Amino acid sequence: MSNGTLIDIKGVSKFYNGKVCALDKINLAIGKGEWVSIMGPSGSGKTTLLNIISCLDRPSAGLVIVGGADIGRLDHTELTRFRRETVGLIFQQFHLVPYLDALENVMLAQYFHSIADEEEARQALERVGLGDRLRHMPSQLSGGEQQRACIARALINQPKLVLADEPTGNLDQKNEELVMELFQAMHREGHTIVIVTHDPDVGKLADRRVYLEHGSIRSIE
Amino acid sequence: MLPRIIKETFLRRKKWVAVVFLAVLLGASLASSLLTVYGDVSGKMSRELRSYGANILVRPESAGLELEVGGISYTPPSARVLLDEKELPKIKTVFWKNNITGFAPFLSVLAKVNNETVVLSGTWFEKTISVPQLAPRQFANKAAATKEAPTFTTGIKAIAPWWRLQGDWVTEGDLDEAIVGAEVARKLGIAAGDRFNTDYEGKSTMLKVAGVVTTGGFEDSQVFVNLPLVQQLLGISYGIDKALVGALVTPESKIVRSIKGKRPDKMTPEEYELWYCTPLVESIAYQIEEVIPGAEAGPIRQVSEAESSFLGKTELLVLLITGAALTASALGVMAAMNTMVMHRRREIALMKAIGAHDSQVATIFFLEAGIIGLSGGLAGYLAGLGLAQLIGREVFGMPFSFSSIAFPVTLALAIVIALAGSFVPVRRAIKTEPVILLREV
Ligand SMILES: Nc1ncnc2c1ncn2[C@@H]1O[C@H](COP(=O)(O)OP(=O)(O)OP(=O)(O)O)[C@@H](O)[C@H]1O
Ligand SMILES: [Mg+2]
Repeated sequence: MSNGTLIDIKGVSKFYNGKVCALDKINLAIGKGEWVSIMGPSGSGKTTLLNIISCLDRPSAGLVIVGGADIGRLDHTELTRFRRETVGLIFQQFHLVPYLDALENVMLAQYFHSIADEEEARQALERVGLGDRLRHMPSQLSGGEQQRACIARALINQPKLVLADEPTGNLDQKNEELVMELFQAMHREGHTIVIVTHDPDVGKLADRRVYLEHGSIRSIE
Repeated sequence: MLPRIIKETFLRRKKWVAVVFLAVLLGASLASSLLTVYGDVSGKMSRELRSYGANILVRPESAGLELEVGGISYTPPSARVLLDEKELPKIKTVFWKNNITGFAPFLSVLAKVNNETVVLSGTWFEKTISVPQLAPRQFANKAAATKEAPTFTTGIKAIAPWWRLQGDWVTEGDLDEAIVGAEVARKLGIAAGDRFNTDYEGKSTMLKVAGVVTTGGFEDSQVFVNLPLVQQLLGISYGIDKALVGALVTPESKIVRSIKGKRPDKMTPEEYELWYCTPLVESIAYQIEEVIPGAEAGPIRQVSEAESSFLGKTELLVLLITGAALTASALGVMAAMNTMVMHRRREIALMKAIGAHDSQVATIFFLEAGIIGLSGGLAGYLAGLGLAQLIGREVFGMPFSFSSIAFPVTLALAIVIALAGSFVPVRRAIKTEPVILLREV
């Protein structure tokens, strides 16, 4: 936490349908450029916490401050802009647009952000080792390749914050290693990374590991 | 990127795209056919009104008792009351003489051509007459006193400039030529240059077709010849059924309210003077009655007023039906677009998760709708044109001419339908929460 705090979570709770308590007064600060793993048993609230940080979901109580802005106070338009400018999302299920090829999927994120630049998109895919798969449709890519395309898409707009929910959950050992190498490169380049994982090997690579249990932080190491 | 996404939508969601397209097509084709039919019918009708060009009808005073159907007298010749065409030049001497643009006499008989009964109308085509100098002395200029009487050229050519003629006019005074109405020419299979034989009570006359006239009005089913020919057939040396006069007039609405609709004999002297000195169709008709003894002159404007109110009602009806059709079609678009949005929830959520702005999502859907609207409008216009021809043939018994206004209006309406119908579905699309991407698999 040498160069300041990027994310400050204060007393955040989340109730689903008014009763299921997915998060219970969480306090957590994440520094700029830090790599944090969120770990814990299934149903402990990991995805819920990540969705709140990425503004996909709103907390029932508490404050989430990202880069000095209280994202609970942002309106719909500002939230969209925040997501577009600040956050890169990586999903366990990849979520590539099925009818666009790898290159177009990356360009789509560019298009929503500003303008599509094919050359830049190609370089991003080359960096994740998909230089020879540019024109493959998602259905023609292996799981690991899809996840790497998803990473290229998440990074294309230079987000300060990269959020990943079990990015290696659907990958074999070899692809997991490839993807984790990409995360390490992101970390070296100064991206702040929050990654939800079950895998101790993945968790080990982070600066800190936050363990959740029943919606509360059990320990941080 | 945008064209790519839209192309994929059209390829992958053919069914719903087709439903939207059909909804637009139905509305647009109905709108386009109604516009074509209405535009053409109202055009034909106002052409028919204008076809009188003439706005004053001059008839013998007692002609009201005669049996007349469609402008044709069915009274036996011996019982007919006729006017003398030699009185007509006096029309050029009334107070508003300079507003008289022309006049033409008519005398008709029913003749047989190849066992078909046709109306044979005797008239003037382009006759030069000399205008009698009956005007009060103070109005006659010095030159007129010394020079011979001024002349005036009149006849059908002067009061019916809308006549579309294939061929030539009949030479004035030539009793062997005729102008044949388009309908008659079609029935008899004759064209300009051909000859045909007419028969009236055993008297047969060989006529040469100088030209074929199309007006869209009653002229199409008549044969026009020089007046003396019909007079010869009837065995009379002079006489006409009626004359039509064209006069430039001021609409009645322009005059003072107090004398509106008042009969001249009920007016005060001041009112009478104002009325007499205003070029109203009634006052000019009144002045014509003054100069032609035994004549009754009246505006034939009542007809056009009745027709214009009929046109107004038809217009309202057409607008209502069109409006209902367009609303139904917009609702169809809405239902189909709604389903399409539902099916694409995950895609929308993903777009939003990777940073799509509301306006970018809306643009995708509005553009898709706009493109479908445009193509549906194009197809609808063509379908409507076909429908209009069908209506024309089955209902009106004539083909409709192409209406240039219907095309742009139909396209614009189709796009408006498509966009208006998409409004609610697009709102729904932009409200889609990106988080559903993670929940629904
Ligand atoms: N949309 C929802 N509606 C109701 N309850 C929910 C919803 N999403 C999550 N939950 C509940 O909230 C709790 C936390 O869920 P969450 O998805 O955050 O767990 P997780 O730690 O990510 O689990 P996993 O490791 O299995 O992904 C669970 O008890 C879950 O059932
Ligand atoms: Mg989870």
